[in-house]
Amino acid sequence: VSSATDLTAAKAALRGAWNPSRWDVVLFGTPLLLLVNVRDDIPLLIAVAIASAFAFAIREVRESPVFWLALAVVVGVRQAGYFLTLDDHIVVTTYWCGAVGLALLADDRDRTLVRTAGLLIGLVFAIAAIWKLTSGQFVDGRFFRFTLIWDARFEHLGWLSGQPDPQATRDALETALGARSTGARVVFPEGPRSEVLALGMTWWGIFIETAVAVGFLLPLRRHPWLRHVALFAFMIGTYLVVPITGFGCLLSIMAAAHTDDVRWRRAYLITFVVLLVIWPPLWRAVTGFEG
Amino acid sequence: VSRRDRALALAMPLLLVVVAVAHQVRVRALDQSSWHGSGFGMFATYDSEQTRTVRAWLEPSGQPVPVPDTDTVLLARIVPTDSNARAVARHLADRGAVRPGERVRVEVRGVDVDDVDGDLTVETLLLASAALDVGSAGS
Repeated sequence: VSSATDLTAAKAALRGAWNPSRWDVVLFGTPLLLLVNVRDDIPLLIAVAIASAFAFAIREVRESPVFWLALAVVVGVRQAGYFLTLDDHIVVTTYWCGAVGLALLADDRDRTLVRTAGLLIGLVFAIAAIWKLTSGQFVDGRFFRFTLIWDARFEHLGWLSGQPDPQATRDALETALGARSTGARVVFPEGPRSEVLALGMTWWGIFIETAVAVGFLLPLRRHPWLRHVALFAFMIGTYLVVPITGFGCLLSIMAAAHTDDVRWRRAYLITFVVLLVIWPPLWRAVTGFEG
Repeated sequence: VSRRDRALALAMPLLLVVVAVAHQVRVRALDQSSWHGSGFGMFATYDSEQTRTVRAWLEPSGQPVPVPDTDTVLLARIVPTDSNARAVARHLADRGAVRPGERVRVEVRGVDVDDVDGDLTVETLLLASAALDVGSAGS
């Protein structure tokens, strides 16, 4: 009888995981997300790990607005001390903890969380798109022409453009920056397709960030799937080049909270899990491989 | 949707916008890197803490002083003001990298990128500078 009961419970758990509810994704996923994003602050990481353990184990804790608001305040106050050195998505994760706590205080928890999640995603992308559109060096392609050579994370794309040895160019600039006086000029040799590639990346970036912003800030009642297509296009295009796990996980959790369609929520949950599983620090911790 | 629920839904997005506007002001006023400070200006400009560097050397000998990879130095790269350059000089003195009686100069440097007749040309720039006489009040 016991094994039959266990089997039934396991089946129910699997069904639950395959059809995740909005709140299950948020209340279990957000502590994991927070752990990823506060990992550089060891005392804070320990405090968040203890709080997360309580949240995972005790339903009343993870469904308590006081828990989430206290978590947001503690993390926020701690991060205020080194705010300027933090990546933006780490601060948005703290906003998100506060947003979960506030939604749990609402009369209509679901609608409040949906509205907050949509606004947070939409505003992040809208502001990012405005930055790019108003940056002359981004719009005219200089940003990506320079980045394809200077930023080693883009080296494989630079290789596609046929550019010569980027390491030698980076070394030349480092030498110029270390010289006794400033004003030195270094010519960055580009490949035959560098300008075209840079302009393509420039306008794709502006287009896709604007599309995500519009998708999450407007109702899109007839075609709500468009916002998810735009967000997945952004995540695939971006994280294949620069895998920023913390930001990808944050977007997955907020978008899963936003959608009413369980299929999209499932897709975001899978994305969240995949991003965590391929997270380089986790691999290094498991394998000890530093490469 | 009740007014209360609407306010609860808007609180965090409003905080996000307020911080982003403050960030925009700081970028304009202090030459702060748009990549940091929660203003979502990452990947919009090559002028980031990645392309900014901090150099230090003794005066008048010109002997270079190694600059550690610490938060004080990172802050000077993110917000390249003379006062942050001076903070780096004090930081170097506190760490014993500069001895009493010596004078250290610290510079924060960045780059400007231009297309000169089709060639992508990068020029190094001085963004902030400070000198400190270690063991005295500084200059």
